[in-house]
Amino acid sequence: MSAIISLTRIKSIFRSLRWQFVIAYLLIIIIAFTIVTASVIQLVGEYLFNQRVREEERIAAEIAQSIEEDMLQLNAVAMYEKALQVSMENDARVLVLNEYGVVQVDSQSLMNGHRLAILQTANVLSGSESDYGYYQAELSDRLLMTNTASAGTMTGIYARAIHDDDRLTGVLVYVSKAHDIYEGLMDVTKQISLILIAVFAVVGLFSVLIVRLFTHPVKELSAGIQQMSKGDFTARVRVRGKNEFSDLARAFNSMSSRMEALDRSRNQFVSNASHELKTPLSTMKILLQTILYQEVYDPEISREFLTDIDKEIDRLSAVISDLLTLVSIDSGEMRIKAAPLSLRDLIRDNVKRLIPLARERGIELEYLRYENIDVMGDMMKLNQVFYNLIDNAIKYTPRGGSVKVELIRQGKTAVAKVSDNGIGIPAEDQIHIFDRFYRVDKARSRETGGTGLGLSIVKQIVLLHSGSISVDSEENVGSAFTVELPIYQKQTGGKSA
Amino acid sequence: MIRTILKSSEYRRRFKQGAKAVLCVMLVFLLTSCSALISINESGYDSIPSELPTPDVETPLAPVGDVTEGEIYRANIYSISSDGLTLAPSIRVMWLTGADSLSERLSEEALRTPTLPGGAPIAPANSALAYVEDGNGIATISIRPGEHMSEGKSQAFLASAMASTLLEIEEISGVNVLVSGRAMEYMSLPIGTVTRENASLEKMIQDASDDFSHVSSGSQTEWRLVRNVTLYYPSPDGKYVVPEIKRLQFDTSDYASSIVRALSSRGDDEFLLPGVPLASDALTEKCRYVQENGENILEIRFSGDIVNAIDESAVERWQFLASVVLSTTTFCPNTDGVRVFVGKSMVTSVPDKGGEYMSFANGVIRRNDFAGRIAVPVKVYFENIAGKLSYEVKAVPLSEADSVRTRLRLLMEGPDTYGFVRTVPEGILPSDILGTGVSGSIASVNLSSEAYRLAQELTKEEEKMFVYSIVNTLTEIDGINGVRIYIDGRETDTLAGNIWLRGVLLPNPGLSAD
Repeated sequence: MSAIISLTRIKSIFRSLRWQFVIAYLLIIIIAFTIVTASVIQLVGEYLFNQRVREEERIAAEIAQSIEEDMLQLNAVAMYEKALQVSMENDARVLVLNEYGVVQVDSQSLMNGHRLAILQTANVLSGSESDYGYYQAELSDRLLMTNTASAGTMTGIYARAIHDDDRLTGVLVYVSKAHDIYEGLMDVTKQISLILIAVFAVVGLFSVLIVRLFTHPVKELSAGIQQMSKGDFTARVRVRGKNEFSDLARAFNSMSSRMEALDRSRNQFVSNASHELKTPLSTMKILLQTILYQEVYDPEISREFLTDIDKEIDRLSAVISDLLTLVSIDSGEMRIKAAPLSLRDLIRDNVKRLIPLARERGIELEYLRYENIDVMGDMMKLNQVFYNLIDNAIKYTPRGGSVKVELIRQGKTAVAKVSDNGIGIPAEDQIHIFDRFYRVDKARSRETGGTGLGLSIVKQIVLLHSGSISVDSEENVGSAFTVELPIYQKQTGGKSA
Repeated sequence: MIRTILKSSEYRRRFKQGAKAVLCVMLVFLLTSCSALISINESGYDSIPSELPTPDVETPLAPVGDVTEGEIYRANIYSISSDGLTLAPSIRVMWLTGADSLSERLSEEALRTPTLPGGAPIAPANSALAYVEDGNGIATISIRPGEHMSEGKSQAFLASAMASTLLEIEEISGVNVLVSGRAMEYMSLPIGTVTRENASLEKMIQDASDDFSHVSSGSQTEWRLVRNVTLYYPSPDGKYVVPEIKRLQFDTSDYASSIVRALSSRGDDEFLLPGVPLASDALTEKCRYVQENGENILEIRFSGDIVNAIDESAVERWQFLASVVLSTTTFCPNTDGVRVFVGKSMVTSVPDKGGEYMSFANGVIRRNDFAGRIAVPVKVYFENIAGKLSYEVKAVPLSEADSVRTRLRLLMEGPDTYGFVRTVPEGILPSDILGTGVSGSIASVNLSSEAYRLAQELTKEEEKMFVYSIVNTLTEIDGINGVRIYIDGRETDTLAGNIWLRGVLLPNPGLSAD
């Protein structure tokens, strides 16, 4: 069981990103190091080997030349002394063969009189000037025993012709221990292996630390996301550095903030909506209870109260309708039925509709300037926009005031402005004027039948038409609402940018 | 359907697993390959060729009997120049046969009429060579003058010319020139053994003048003369005496006494015994000359102890006499013979080898009495305890100094030194030497098939020792550098399967313990 647990734990450890990174680093290092090491050793070995071959060929050639005269004179003592000296100086073995390949001089005096039938001798006796080969010395191989070589060592054999003018008089055989190259390379290999192990350990340690730098932000982000998934939108991650992780952290924090704001806004909205819904219901309840529980039925009072209840129902209905509209907009379900329409005519129609109301309130409503501008839009929705704006202007302008409506072209944008000389909007309220359920004067808006959602709806519709809306107001001076919409270009067949 | 299979998750899972496995295998392969690069390629032996190419060389015929090839020799023969004041060489080209002795031929050439224009002979007319003793690097020549030879400078001319001529031979390091068997003098001082240091006439005359001035001007206590002297030492086998050159300082003109005292030590060659084996002074009085019948006879008186000393040593009595007589007559000028007294008795005879006696008329012992008993030391190689070749010095008569057969015979006789082992297989006799020869610097040996058969029993080491004892021994002969061995007149590959006999074999200095 513990073994299974350990295995599971081990597996889980190695599934982690950190360990995968570490293993990847180590693998890369090992592979690269091994390739480089092998290549270096191969190159170094070849270089050392070739250098050794050249050097020993030179030595063999020198010896062969120095004993040419002695060979001609058959001066064995002189040749033996030279062979002995060279063998001592170079830890090698020197043999001199006659034209039959018979050893005449041997610095170790072991093979005199024996015929040295090896490839190198045969090649030189057959006409080559020189030849060489490398062999693994066996215990029984007396030829390949140099002064200090032992069994199993690598031995080089160099054969060189000895001449008397053009006539071959013998062969000089130079036997050297080459195992030092092999041992040297093995030493280098061992040292490199030790270095590799050390590098492995250091890289492993550093990679664990470095990878932590990468995985830690991911872990933090993951924790933040988990926190957020539980509904806690206050989660933030620390932004470190200026890289992709910091961008990701910033994006997450931004998303978190927006979600927190949205959540707060949603809560606020729900709170406001429930309040707006509850208020008329409460009023209706009181009125109905008053009717129901009056001791003496009074038809006049009953009619008045029922009329009030009717009004509350209308308000409730209006609020619910507006809410549904906003929900529709928010959820993306609302689709504008865009078609080219004359904005000038649309605004004029709404002005006409509201002139009676304005006259009733003693307000002058004028459609001052209007250019013939077409836009691509939903006629019903845009009617709602301009009806709402003009209606608001009339509502918030006292008797004797005026409301002016203008439509002009600015470049590729149609600019519609509804301005009044009404009560104006305080500066601190202007930024919230398009918020849902926001009322500057709650009492007044209730009187006028407002739901607090009108300007929110207006703004959403304008935004759906790729336009913008802004307000410029001064308390007790008046307000001006400006709607900008892209002009419809008939030639290109689409909206202008 | 295939598309369905390819899209299935199971297939994809298996594919990924397979891909991982393949990658792992490739990784292992890569690492293994890299490791393989690290190892050095160790090749085994290349296939040994069955045969080496046979060289295109002509093999000389095997010798039958003892053959020495003739050769042309270019010699510098010294004679008196036209101004009569110096010696000058002239080149003579001569053909030497195998029977010729080089020193004899050169000596004869030197005595002939000079070829230098206007030059003078170095010896009186009709002078002839009496004999030449050439061995151990010392040539002693005796000239029989055609006419009386005046003393003085003429003797210097003769000594210098003969010595210079003979010293052209590389093997000769000292020359004694005798006239009618007598040593020569110049300016009343013995010339002694002439070496390369004092062979030139100018040097000889100058040294003599200096010495004469010194000895004639100084008092008796300051009298001093330094000369090279040929001393003769007994060989340990009791058969010969061997010459050696020594540089002696003489404090008196009693040269003989100084020589006798010098003979009480061994020769430089340790194998030689002291000629006078008596530690204390063997002489009872100064040596002196007596005139008898126109001859100068040197009388040397020894104490009676000398007899016991001789008998207790390895020196034969005749060797003692030969050492004393040869040494004194070769150096002391104008000495015709030596009379030896032991105690009060005059020596008139002495036991010889083989139980015979040597007799000396009137007690006068002459150089010629020991003709044929002068030998040279030769090195003969045998196997020692350590399994290497060591030489034993043996005395060989002058006439056989360069004889290949003699050396082989000595090998076959075996060693006398304790611990040395005979290398020639038992049963091989001197009669198995079918022939010997010398051609240039190569000695040839033709052994019988019986010798070859007996050699087949030899082990690898024994075969090596046998062959190289022959080679190392024969290459000790002056002028011999290599040896060919034939079996029954033909070359064979090997003697007993190991040592290759084709071609010339050179000596193996590394095998020698000395």
